[in-house]
Amino acid sequence: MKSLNKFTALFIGLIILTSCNDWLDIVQEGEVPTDDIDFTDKSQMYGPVSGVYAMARERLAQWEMWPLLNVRGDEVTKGGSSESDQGEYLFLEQFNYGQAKGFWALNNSWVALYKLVFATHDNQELIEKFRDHLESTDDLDLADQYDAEIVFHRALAYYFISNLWGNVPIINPDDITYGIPYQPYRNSVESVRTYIHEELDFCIDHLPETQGGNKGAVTKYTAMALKAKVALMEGDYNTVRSLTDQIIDGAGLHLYNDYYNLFKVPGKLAPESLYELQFTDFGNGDGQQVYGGAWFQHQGPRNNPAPISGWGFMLLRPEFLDFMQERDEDVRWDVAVLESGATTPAGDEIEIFEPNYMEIKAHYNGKAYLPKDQMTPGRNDYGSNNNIRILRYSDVLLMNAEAKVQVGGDPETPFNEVRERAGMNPMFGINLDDILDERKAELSVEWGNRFFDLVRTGKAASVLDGFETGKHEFLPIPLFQEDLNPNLTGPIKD
Amino acid sequence: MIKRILIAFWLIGHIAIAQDAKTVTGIVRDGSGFGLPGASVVVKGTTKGTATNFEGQFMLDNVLDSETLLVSFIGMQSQEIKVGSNDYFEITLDDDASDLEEVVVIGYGTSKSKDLTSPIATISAEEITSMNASSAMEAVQGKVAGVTIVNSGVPGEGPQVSIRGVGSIQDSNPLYVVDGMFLDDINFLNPNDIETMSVLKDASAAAIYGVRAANGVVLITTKSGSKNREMQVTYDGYYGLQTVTQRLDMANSEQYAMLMRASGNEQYVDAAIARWGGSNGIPGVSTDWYDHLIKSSAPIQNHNVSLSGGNEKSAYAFSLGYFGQDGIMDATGYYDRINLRGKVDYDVSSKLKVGFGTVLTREKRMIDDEQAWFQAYVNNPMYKVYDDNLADGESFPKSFANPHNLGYNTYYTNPVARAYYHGDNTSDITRFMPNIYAELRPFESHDIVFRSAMNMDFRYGAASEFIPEYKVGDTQQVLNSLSKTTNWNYDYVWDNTVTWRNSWGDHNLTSMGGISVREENYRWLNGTAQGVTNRDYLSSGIADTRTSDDGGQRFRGMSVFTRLSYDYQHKYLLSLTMRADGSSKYQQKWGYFPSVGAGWVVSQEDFAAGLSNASVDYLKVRASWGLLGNDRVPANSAFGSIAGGDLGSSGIFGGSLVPGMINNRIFTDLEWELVDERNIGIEAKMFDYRLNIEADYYNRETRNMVIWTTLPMGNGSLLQNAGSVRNSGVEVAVNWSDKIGSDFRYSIGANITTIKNRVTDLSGEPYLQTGEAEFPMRSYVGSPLYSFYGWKTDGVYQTQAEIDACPIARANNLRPGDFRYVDANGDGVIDDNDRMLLGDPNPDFTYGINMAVGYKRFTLAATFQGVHGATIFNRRRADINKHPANNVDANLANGVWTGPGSTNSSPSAEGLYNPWNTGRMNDFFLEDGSYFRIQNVRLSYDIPKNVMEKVGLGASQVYLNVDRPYTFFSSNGFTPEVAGGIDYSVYPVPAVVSVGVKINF
Repeated sequence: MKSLNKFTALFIGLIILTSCNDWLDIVQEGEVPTDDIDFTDKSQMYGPVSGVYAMARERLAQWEMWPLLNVRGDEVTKGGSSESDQGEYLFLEQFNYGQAKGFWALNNSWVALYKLVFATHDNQELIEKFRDHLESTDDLDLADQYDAEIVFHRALAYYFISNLWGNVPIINPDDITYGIPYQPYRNSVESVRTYIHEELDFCIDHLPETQGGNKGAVTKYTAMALKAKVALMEGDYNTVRSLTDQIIDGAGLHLYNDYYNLFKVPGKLAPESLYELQFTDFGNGDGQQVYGGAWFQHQGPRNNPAPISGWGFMLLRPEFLDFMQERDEDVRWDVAVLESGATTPAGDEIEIFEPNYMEIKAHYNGKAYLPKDQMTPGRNDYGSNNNIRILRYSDVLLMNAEAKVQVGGDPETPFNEVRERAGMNPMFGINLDDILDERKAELSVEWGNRFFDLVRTGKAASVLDGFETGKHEFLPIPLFQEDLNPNLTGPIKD
Repeated sequence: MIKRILIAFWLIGHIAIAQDAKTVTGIVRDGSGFGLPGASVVVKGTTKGTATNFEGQFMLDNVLDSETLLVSFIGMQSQEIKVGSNDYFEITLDDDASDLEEVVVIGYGTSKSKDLTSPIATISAEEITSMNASSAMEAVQGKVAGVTIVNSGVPGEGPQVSIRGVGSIQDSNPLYVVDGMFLDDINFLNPNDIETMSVLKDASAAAIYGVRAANGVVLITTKSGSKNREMQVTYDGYYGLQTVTQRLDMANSEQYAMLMRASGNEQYVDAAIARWGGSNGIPGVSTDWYDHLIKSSAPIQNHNVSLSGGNEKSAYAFSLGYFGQDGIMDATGYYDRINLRGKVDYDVSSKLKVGFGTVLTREKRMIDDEQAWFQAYVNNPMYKVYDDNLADGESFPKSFANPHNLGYNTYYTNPVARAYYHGDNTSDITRFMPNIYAELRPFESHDIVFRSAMNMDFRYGAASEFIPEYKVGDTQQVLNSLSKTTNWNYDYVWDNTVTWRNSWGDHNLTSMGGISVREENYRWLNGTAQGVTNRDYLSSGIADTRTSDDGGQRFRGMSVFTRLSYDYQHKYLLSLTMRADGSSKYQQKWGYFPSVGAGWVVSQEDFAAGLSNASVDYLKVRASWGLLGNDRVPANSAFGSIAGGDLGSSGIFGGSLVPGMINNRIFTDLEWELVDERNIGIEAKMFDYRLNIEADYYNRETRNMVIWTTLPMGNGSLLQNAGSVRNSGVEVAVNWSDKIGSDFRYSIGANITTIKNRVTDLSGEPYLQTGEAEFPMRSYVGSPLYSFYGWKTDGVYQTQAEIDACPIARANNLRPGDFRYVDANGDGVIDDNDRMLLGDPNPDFTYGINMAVGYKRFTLAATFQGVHGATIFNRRRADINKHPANNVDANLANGVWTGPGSTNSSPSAEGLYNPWNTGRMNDFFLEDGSYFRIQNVRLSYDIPKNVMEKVGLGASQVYLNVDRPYTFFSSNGFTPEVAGGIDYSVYPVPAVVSVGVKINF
């Protein structure tokens, strides 16, 4: 019976253990609980900000968004091996939106941009947790600045979302409950833009004029430039003029003289840069790198040996090439155009590519081109170690000129500053069309600027085949998103 | 030989002692005249007894004339024989036609088959080894109603198993309990080591496993020795060849060229003709990449030596097994396994029994590159494997040809090169699975057993993947890369139970209670490096390139459970179970799982005497209900988490990294996923037990179903309790076996399982959307889970007149040869609102047929199985929506619309590249997944003992075995067995022809 007693003791022991839920309460490994961060250690407070830069870099460089932004303008066609290669982009170029509603790139781009929005809300929560432990005014100001850096990226995401889709939901972070699917209604494009303005006003109040330590981090002037672009979409030229004046007077920016290299390695974070997605190979020919990937590759030359090789998308249209030639654009041609069957000024031979769907040989987007001799030896990826430029000072100057044409002032000075850098003769007595042409030449294939210019000035219908005003300004909301959130097809609720 | 001498000594010794009582000897044979080793011969009413030796002989001393011998053997009818004046007995035991007395392993105990209140399928050792496969579960396919198995052709990879439909989405594999240890799969186990397998299908049987039981439970008992049995040594082995008997035919170069012209990609064809020759627009080279990727045959073999026996106090069993299988891909893949197993039971005293068992497994596999199969499908056929005219540095170290010099991008790469350069991917697992138990029967007057068992499972895995420096056109590995991963698992289950068997009058009650504690620990460590100079060491790589990573998981569970099994005269049966489970995975720590089962043996009632007149020997009806839990969900953190510090979450500022963090506020907060299952069944045995019928209706409803849901607005995805799904259906198994004369015997059996899968609740959501964004699946209340959702075609526009007459065709610039879609809402426009459910991957029913005929020493057995009503989405074909330069299968190329009246089910060649036809989910990409397969045919011959004795061996058998020689199916793939119904890239499941032998020594 002795052994029986032992068993009894064992059973009783186990029953006691059973009552003890602590034994079952274990933290899952492999995940760091948010609350495990030491929020009293303010030296870590930049972490959430840096994380948002990383998120923006990853999401905004998703290649499939790039044709979505640009092919509806009159500079590029989608390119690729054949018309059927990602054929839905052609539907978008032809303004046959109905056929592209289920297109994967449409959905992926929507998801990418909204993911950036969510990331800004998520990481702002971290700043708030740090803020709870801060006392000094300097520290609290710093927390505001960090908040502003995060908020800027949300404004940037909404700028693209609203330009692409028009009436879209504004995410209310307080409404997100993770048990029930969050299914917001759409806001009107006007209210989304108002929201972006409010966000950017906060940024302008709290961002520094310069960023000393973190090169290329956003400043007050970056926020102003973006706000000016939003106002430009709204036709609010007074605001555009006021903001761009402040940038021109205060930011200390100037146009980069080595225009050929502006979009290449020497032009990374050039003095005219207001915002870039930053990548690096850390100066090493092997090992890890932070690389723009398919954003570069899809615009790279087909059939060409590495590293200058890619998928041959985003081919410049003959009309655009004619436009550039008629204007005798030499300097800007060399930057904007990467000709196949020719040797680049930097000495790379580009294999000829004659797509059967075009009457001319391929001309790739030169702004994605990185010469082989600028790459770190050992790297073999097209565009490796190069940044992706988003906001530039020349855009600010041209916005300034346009606002002054519209509401008064001297448009020629900023306008000709841009032209002179490009080796073009100054022009006087300029009108809106001159400015739009100048923007077309200066800002070709950059973040949809051309299409948005045509839409906001009401010229799209006359310039773009198939475009109908009131019908084609905005892309259809992705079918998959409507399926997930049927409220997207519901009424607009501001 | 040695045994005979021993017996002789024994005999001599005994003759000397025998005086009053005498010594009796004899032989026990089975129905066909073979000696039965290990049969029990006891003197009735005493503890005197022995077991027959290997020849079936026995000897008992001190036997009185007045006594009676009780002779029994598992599966045979017991016999009682008066001793009388005889001292030599020749006893023949007949097969027990009914399995009513069969002891069935149930959770934490055993029960006689006749006392069960739930459908438990048992699979014998013989059935498990009736197919030559690496995993025991493959042999179950088609044999057990309600068990659905999807095989894999990857060497060493076990099949996907689901019991009674897809209930839980997270993981449909059942729980395997091997001698008490909880396991997720049994692929590591040597099928020869399995004594019995019980499949607990309904809740009343499975609920004793509570939170692990939602997908059903497979109980496995490994072979043990028997007490009082001479050592028995058996060799069992086979050698076979695997071949792919059914191939997917690909379009040849001529067909491909036709398609490329239609897609506007004729530049590829022109480039191929310029480089590789050809004329009249037809390329000179036509490569079927599968030809180069599939071996004509690959060996498979198994060798197993087992040894078992026992004396008065102990029993032992040992075995050593080897299994080896080469992959059918013409590359390096293989799977090797060595199993070592030992099991010892020892009676310390009449009250205490202890035992120890262990399985030691060493698995080594080389993993073939899965991507090569997909490349073989999509790659153009117009170039060869090797190219002698390459530019300098275009391809090295081997001169593989590449598609890139024809203008293709790096989505495509030479499939053979891919398999070759990505073939060095090994994974080794060493596994040690010991268990130890003690059983105490402290009372002589009561049958009460305390049992404590500790089961452990240690696994050490080492994986290594090396990709050499190579270049094939634009596909380049600039520096070689080495990745090494080690992982370590330590799991244990500690069960403590007490069982009390009690009888009073006609009442029988077995009560069992227990407490179980378990823990699972898993850790892994991974390192990578590039540019290594020594393929085995990360440290030989370039310093900048070295990375390391680690992680792990931990889980704890604790359970209290009880079962009461009561019967009255074995006529009225009642079984109650209750289990309380604590799990660290859920925030709500405890879940409770009750069940109840009842049975009524109608044939035992007096009023049912008429049944036996109607040739019904036995009839039982039973019903059960229970709740089961499922914790095979990823652990549920219920807190926001941080990703930080790495490249992906850190900003770059002027070329420098500033460590960043990304907050993830999305977290799971799950309730217990529950299965509520009801079962009503009937068992009948008729015509002298020759006909067995078992039929069950089941209805299992999974509530709080845990599903990965895609969140709206791009906010990631999340595990959620999304609603309820019901699987219901009928399982029927019928078996007939008989003999004609003494030489001819036969049996035939069939089983069918219907599965009706319906979503019953979605927590108020209109539907659940899953799948790829372009190829979505939807689940609606009242419809099957995961139905493909898209547009339904309604033929093809045949003529321009049809186009002109149709406003939809005109609005979309269609041409003859494009699809006409069903305008579901009749608004004259084809848009999102015209989508509908197009089919689902769940089969309507599955079935199996088993038959065997035997004449004298020959037996021919065959198994067939099939699936009906499943829908397969041909994802391989649908890939042309993004990649128009893909090659396609010959059926697609041959079937295109070529002019009015040519076909009404496929678009024209041009139309294949119009997103209207192929850029969306429609029923053109959906195929019938029904199939009927000849699963297994085996011809065996029992070599007469007298022949074997001449070479000093015992009874033996040789056989010729063919597994899966042919499958009837219509989908356009290598196999209709596609997990989840999406056919993307499937390793072919080969046919196996093998010869085998079983030898007793």
